Amino acid sequence: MLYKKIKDTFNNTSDLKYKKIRKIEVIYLESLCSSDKVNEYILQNITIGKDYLFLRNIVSGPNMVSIKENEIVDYLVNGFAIVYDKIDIIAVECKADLYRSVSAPTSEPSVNGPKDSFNESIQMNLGLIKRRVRSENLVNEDYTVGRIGKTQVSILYLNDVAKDKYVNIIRNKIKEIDIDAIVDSEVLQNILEDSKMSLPTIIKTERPDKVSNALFEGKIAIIMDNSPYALIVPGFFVDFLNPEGDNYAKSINVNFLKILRICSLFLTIFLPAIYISIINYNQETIPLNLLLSFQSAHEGVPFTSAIEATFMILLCAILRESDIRFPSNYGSSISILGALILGEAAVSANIVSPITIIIIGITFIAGLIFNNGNLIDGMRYYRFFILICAALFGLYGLIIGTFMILIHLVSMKSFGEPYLYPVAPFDKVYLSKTVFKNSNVMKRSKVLSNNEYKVKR
Amino acid sequence: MKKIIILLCLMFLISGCYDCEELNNLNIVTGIGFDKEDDEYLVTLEITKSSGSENNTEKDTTLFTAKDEVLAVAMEKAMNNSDKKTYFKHTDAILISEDIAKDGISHIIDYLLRDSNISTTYFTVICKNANELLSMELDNDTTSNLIVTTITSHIKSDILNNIDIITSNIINKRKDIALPYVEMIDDDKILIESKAYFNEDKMIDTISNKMYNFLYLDNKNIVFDKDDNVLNIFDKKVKYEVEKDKIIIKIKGEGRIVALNEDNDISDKNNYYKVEKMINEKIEEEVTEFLQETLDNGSDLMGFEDLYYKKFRKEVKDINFAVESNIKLSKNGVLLEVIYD
Repeated sequence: MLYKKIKDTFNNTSDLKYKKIRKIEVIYLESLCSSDKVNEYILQNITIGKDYLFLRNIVSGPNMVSIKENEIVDYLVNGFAIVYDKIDIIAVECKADLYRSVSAPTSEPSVNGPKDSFNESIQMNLGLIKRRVRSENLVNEDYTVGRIGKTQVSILYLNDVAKDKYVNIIRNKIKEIDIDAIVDSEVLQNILEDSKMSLPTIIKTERPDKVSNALFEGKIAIIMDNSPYALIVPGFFVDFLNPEGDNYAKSINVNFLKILRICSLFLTIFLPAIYISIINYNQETIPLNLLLSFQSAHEGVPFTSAIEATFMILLCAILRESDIRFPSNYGSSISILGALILGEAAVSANIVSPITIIIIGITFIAGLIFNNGNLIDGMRYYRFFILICAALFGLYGLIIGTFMILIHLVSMKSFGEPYLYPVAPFDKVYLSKTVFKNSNVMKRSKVLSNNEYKVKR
Repeated sequence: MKKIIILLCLMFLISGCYDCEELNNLNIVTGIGFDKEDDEYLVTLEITKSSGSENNTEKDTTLFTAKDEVLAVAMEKAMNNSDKKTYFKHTDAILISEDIAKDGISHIIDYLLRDSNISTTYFTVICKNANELLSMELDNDTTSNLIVTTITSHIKSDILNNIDIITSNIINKRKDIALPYVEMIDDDKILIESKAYFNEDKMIDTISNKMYNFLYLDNKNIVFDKDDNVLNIFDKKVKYEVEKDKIIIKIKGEGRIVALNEDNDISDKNNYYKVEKMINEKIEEEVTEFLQETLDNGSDLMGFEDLYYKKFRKEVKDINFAVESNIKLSKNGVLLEVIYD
């Protein structure tokens, strides 16, 4: 009795359905299969069908395979219905659509460009990418990861463009994964990344157009079931600064924004430190009138400006965190409370000076330009480190701290390549695609692809 | 790893915060006044503060004064008036009283140069009484009610009023300096229209600003008039030619006619050149007068001796000079006749 055996394997689960029509038996998991499909592909056929020679001749369906007895459980949990008689065991795919439809990207919104985003179905995500990359060279290698979870993970790359080096690294890393389950691509990202670094080395995106653009450049994409985010490998520092929307605007206009973003990056890391070092050590660098207004703003505040700034940075971090975590229905009350505390009460209670609020405000707003959460969180360490250096040693400490950060960044590696590529080592081609935009460059970067030319020469 | 962490912590703990000063602990000195009273130095420090609430950022000053026979001790005493740190990096003006200037300013300049805490970007001015000037309350319709700010805004364009130039001119025996002279009028106004000129480090007398600016400051527009013909000289260059027996001062430039004598009809070419010549003569006359007066008093403002020495490596015995003015009238948009009779 095959059914009894399976039922025992599943510990008498309630959604395991069993039907016996004439001599043919059907088993499927009701929660994973669509009853319409089971009806259409299997039940209708076997009730109408008269005498038959082989079971596979009367059962229909887009995806059906003959399987052995020991494979039954695997197929059942993947949404197949098992049809068997005394001779044959056949698995018919009757997966139910448990997924939401394609919607607009929420975490990477853009004015220009396509408005679709990934959802939790790997097939649909693959479809969204394949619609953009209509090439026979697009390879997807599937792996099943997780002992219990058994999630499908797929590596995507263009066979003639991507370098084998990266594919091998990722292939090996994914094969080596020995874990109960991977629930989201963020978990996969943490496993694939070098965990020592605070800054991200893998690009996470929900935009199919970003993934396909990366594939064209020779990068490798990893998508997985049940996660609306795809991973792109390798990611360099500059990749995280600019949004995908840049590719759809005029390059001369975009370059201004790109410079602005680099300035914001500088501001969000260094501004509190510059402020502290100037206000505490090198007051002669400020014009007299400004210095006097700083002085009068500081009057009555009992804390040193370094403590003030640290306090404000922490307060802003708390505010940001609560804004993200709290249900959006209550969001407005948070901002009102935050604005009141930060803007009015703290100043009138002489806890912080208005100048510090302005400085920290600029710091945080500049940081919000970047939508990669890992990047913002990583920069926090640098901001604190350099703030401490500046508070203890002034402008001298600021310079030393900057050098230490630079040394740290330069020594970082992303999948075997320098993290600060294409700035150091310098590469004009990749630079003109990330730091600046130059539509005239029709080449691929040497680091990413051996197939350098995008057009025939 | 442990050792490195301990070393890093030690580095931060032992050497950190050196020279750190909170803004609230600073007394920002904007002006320093030096006077002499009964053979003692009277030092006046002008401390500027921003008073009032956030919206009303009016500046306010307090004065710290101290007296001593020794200049440096007097300074220390003045600084000790408050337990806050006196901060000299934003000092904009040094005011030296006439009494001191007449005895010689070199020891004050020496003190200022020696002290590394004092900025080097201040203006040095001479006045009747520095303490009185600093404690004066200005008429409020001026741009600022602060004495030092007002003084510096008046002499901003004086590029020669720089501690390095003043020092080098004092050290150089063949060249002399002139510093702005601040006068008080009606207890609530100040006037800076003259220069105190020096022989080495001793002040001799004051002289009008006009010719000094004309000869030294290229970017200043100067107005000359002769017989109701008024010319605004701009874009001028002053050059010196050193010859064996004399030094020739060559003035080149352009002048715009601002007012014209009714008798002069410059549509007539001869008249046009006549006006030009007349003005040039007038300039030559005024420059000669200015230079002669200072030279007679022993002040070599143009550095004639220096120029001569640089060229011939010899001390000059008797300074002779000639002025050649070559100002051309600007023809652009000039009205040829006056419109009244």
